[in-house]
Parts: sequence; structure tokens; C-alpha cells
Amino acid sequence: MTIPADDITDRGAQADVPWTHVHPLTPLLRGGVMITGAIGYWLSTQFDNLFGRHGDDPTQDHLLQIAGVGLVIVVLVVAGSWVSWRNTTYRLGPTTVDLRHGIVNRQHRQVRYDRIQAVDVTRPLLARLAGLSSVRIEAAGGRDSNIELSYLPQTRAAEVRQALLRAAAGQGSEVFAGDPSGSPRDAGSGLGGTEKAGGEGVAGEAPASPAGGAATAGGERTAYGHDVGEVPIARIPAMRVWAATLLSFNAAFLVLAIPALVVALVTGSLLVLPWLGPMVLGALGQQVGRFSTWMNFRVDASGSAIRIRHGLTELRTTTVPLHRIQAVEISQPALWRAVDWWRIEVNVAGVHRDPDEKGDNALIPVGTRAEALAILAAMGPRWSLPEVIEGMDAPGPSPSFVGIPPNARVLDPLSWKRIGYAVTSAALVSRGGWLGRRVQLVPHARVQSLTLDQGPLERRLGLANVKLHSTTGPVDPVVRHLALAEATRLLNAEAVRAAGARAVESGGAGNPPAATAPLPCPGALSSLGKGPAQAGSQGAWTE
Amino acid sequence: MTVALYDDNAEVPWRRISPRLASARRIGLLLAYLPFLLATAVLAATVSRWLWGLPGVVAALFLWQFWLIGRQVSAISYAELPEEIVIRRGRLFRRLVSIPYGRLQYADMGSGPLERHFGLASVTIHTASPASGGRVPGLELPAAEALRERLTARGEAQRAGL
Repeated sequence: MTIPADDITDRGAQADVPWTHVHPLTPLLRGGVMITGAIGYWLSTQFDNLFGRHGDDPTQDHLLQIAGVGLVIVVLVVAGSWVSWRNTTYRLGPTTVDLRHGIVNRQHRQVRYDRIQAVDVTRPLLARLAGLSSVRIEAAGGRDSNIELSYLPQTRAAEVRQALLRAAAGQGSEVFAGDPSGSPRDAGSGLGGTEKAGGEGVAGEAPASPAGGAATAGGERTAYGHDVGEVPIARIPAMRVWAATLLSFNAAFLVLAIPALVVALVTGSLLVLPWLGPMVLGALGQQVGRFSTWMNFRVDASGSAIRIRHGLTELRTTTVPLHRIQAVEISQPALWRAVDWWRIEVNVAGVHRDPDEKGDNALIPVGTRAEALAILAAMGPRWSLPEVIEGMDAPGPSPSFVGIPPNARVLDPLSWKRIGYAVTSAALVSRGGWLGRRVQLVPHARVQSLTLDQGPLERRLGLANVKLHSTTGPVDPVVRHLALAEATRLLNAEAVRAAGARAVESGGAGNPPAATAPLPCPGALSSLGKGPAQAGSQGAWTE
Repeated sequence: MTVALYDDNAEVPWRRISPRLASARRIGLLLAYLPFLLATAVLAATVSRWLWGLPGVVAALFLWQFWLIGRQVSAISYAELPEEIVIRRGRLFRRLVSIPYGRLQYADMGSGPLERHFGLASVTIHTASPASGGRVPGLELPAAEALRERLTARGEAQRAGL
């Protein structure tokens, strides 16, 4: 590959960082294959019409014309692709990442490093076959401010991602001091080689990763996978994905509904078809979607971020910067109780994902208890608290939690013993659920605003709900049905705690950049692997 | 300072909004109901006198909402505390929202034609979370402008990162 990979390492050229082209196969992969195929098909039908009826030989006397037209089209496509490729360039400048593209309508898109919210590496199937990846940069300011650098060779994509992350984390001068061996390796990875890595990486990586994780600490990096200093936390084996997909109400419904549907079809009672058919299709689609996003799921900690890789057909890499996590929910569907599997979902500031794809928002969609706790530990001492375990396990009233009054039983007949909240020095913990369980965590410093509300029924019972608003995401932190006096006290106390935490974090007024700077992260890694009980040792207090 | 859903704690400077908001909303309500009232009345007059029940139901709904608007408007109050603004509203479904100035992304001022006729405007507060904003309706125009400016100034002074 002829792409010079040295602009990343070359910090000397501050003002004029050279523009780099994306991979030459990009136009082809971006639908070029489809267009070529479509044109080819159209041509073949046209030729049949034009020349087929003249005789036995469809190309009789017209061979030259056909060859000529074909050649012209091929040349046009190639030229168009070439021009499109020539015009698609990007660069990692001193303070911004830039992308220029477009032939007629030239566009120049720019994202400042300090505006970067997340950097993902995605690999659609076709690109994966060619050994290419695309780097998606999500920035604050909505959908239009995102940049997608597609496509780059895999190793190059990994380097770019890492450089961007460092730049976004504001680690100053090291930003572009990337792996100096980047370009030779880049040049060495021919199409055949990377294709193999892409194909095998999925299956071959998981077993090798513990050793790989140890090696990365020494500054090495595997062809596709670990970055420097990345520590593996969790891998979801394929068996668990199968089991977890089956252990759901959706699957139970399918087990009952599909035979019913078959029987209905056989016996000819078509009346059930209009309503049962779509339900089955919907449930099936959801299960298949979950299955394909949960496959090959891996979680790694890399200092100030957690990286997630997953996907069956399309490998997605998502980086969740720890300091952008706003709220966490640890939950367990009822059917997972026996196997003790948990799901962790997070709200991340500035990252808006498809709300239908639940698995995509999860730090881990189905993890063992140990894995879930390890992820919390990797997220730092603020998140791994003894109260979380208490909230996960306690079947009824427990010492740290403030519960709800017995007359709330009318509204929560099953879960009223579990609903409640605990306050620690760093966060508010809310728990709920009876068969399926749920624990929510919101750091005081991340509370957006607070709501106290009460409907007519709750008013009669003297109850009220407290909501701790977080940014958009799957987690909607709430403490339901507290006694009114208790709810009022919680709201007022939490407002004070949140104000205090904000003041501590921003370290003085009028200093927005400092407020968004990463939190001290060494704790995140040093507490890794230890149980949260040890990690979250700061004096937890309860009201 | 303790804010609560109902009691008017003396130390919290609760402020009420202009009662003229009720008039504005009632006119809006009338405009919305008038076509239905007329249509059902015409129907009853021309088709059958048994249909007079229809305009009766519409009128009853109108009167109930007319009364409800008064209750709702009188239930809205807000307080500007040192660290946050607190807004309360609702009778049947009571809600109190407490928005720290540091979380304010921006504050909007808006005024519909009816509100403008009565010299009123509303201030809408936006935070990083779409669910967590708040709205103070029925402020006198100068008061709304002043509130918006105070909010913006305090938001800038106390701004906190995400």
C-alpha cells in the first residue's frame, strides 16, 4: 500500500501537516461494486436486446463496438473512482482533524480534538474482506458534526484512532508520537495478509488475548486488537450468547408461538396470521439482532477509556471515555437469575445511538458477575462501590438503602421491599426490581437536574418520585414511590451534594475546559481486578 | 433552603406568574372549542333535537377545562435560589424541577400571539438532557427578559462540564 503513514508521527510539520489519501479501494467499496455490477447487468441486457435477435452470434459484426463501449464504461468508472479518491483526503492537524471530499461539491469538514466525543473503528463485511476499516469520529454538536474516515488499512485505522484519542484526551505533546513502526507494518500488510487477519481475527483472537494483553504492556501491539496498555476485562463466549439469547421472554414466546403458527397454517385457521405473524417476525428479528451484536463481544480497559469490540458480520469498535460516562445501570432480566448474568448499560455524553439497539449501548450485554464487577472496577473507584453489590443482591431491606413505605405495596406489590436508594460520597445508588433486578448509579457531579413528582394515586398514598436527569441514553435514573417527606429530603440533599461535587470537579468558576478534562484515572487501572468491595473503599455514608 | 412540592416555605422566595396567563389560555381554549360547539349545535338544530346532547357534552368539557386552567395557572410558581432555579406546576400531576444554573445550556424566550396580546412571555430552560429542562410561562415581558438574562449570566458564571 502506498499510503504514507508518516504524517501521524511527524509532529515537526506543525502548520502544514500533509493531507493523506484514503485507501484506493474506497470508491469501489462505497457502493462502487454495486454500481459496477448494476451497469454490467444493464449492459448485458441491452446488448442482448440490441444484438441478440440478429442471429446466432449475439456479437455478430458488433464485437468491436461492444468492446469499445465496455472499455469506455470501464475507463469512466475507473476515472470517476480515481477522481473521487484523489479528492478524498484527510489529515490530523495540530488542533483539528480534517476531511476533504467531493468532486463537484467540495466539502471540507473539520473537528477540533477537544470536541471529539468518541472514536469508533467499524469494519463492514466488504471492507473487512479487503482488510480495511473506517474510523468514525463523533463530535459534540449533533449528527452533522461527525466525520467518517473510510477506508483505511486496519493497522492505520488503529493508529489514527489511537492518535485521535490521545489528542482528545489532551495529552499534549505525545499526541502524534505514535508508533514509529507504523508505516513499515502498514506497507507490509498486503491485501492477502490483512484479509486473513480480518477473517480469522474474530475467532482466533479471543483465546490468544490474555497473553496478548500481557504483551501489550510492553509496547507491542497485535496486528488487529490491543493497543498499548490495554488490559482485557471480559470476553463473551459464543455459548453464552446462544444461552442468553435463548434465556429471554422473547425466545420463550417464539418457542410457543412458532409451533402455534405452524399448526394454524396447517389446519388452515388463517385468522391468527395477521397478528401472530408480525409478532413472531418482530421477536425473531430482535433476537437475531441481539445475537449478531453480542457475538464476539470483548471489553478492554485502556487507561482513560473502555473499548468494546463486537459484531458477527460487522466488527464494531466503540471507545467509551470514562470521564464522559454520566450514569450506569446494572440489570439482570428475570430469566438470568439462575445463571447470575448481568448487563451494564451507560449514558455517555454526546453519543447518541439508536435507542432500539439495546445491545449497542451496553458496556457488556451479558456478563458473569465477576466480569460485570471487573468492568465497574475498571471504570474507577467512583463506580465500583459496595452499595452496588448490596443493591444487586439484597432481596429486601438492607443497611445502606433507604426503602419505601409499606403502603407503596399497592403500587409495587412485588418489588416494594427492594426499591430504594443509597447515598455514597461519590454517587447516588438506586435499586429496584423483584425477579429481574436493576441498580442505577449516578455520580453527584453528573446530575443534570432533579425532579420531584406525584400523580393522583401517589398523592393519596403520600408518595412521590425523584428523578435524577441524566443525558440521553438507556439509563433513566429514578427513585420511585418514596414517602413524600423522604423524597423531599432526597431532592434537597441531592441538590446540595450535586452542587458541591460540581464545584470540586470544576475547581473554580469560569473554567469550562478544565471541567471536561479527564478525571484522575490511575485509580481506574490500579483497582482493576480487585473486587469492588476493596476498590470502593472511600467512606461511604448513608442518610 | 428546602423546596417542597406543596408547602410555601417562608424562606424560599416563591414567585407566582401573572394570572393573565389564565385569560390568554382561556381565549385559546374558546377558539379551539368554538367550531365544535357551532358544528354540533347546527347539527342538533337541523337534524334532530335529540342531538342537543352533543353540544351539551362539548360545553361541559369546555367549562371543565375553563375551570382547570385557573387551577393550573395558579399552581405554577418558581423560585430563583443561589445555585438553582426551581419550578413547580400541576395540580393533579404535581411536578417540581430543580435545575442548577451550572447545567444550563441556553435559555429561550418565547411568546405566542395570545400571550403577546396580554404582554406575556415564557422562558424555556435547556440542559444537556432533553427531559430535564423547565419552562416558566406567563411572565410579564420585561420580567421574562430579565429572567432570561439572569439565567444566562448565572449559567455562564457557574457553568460545569458534562
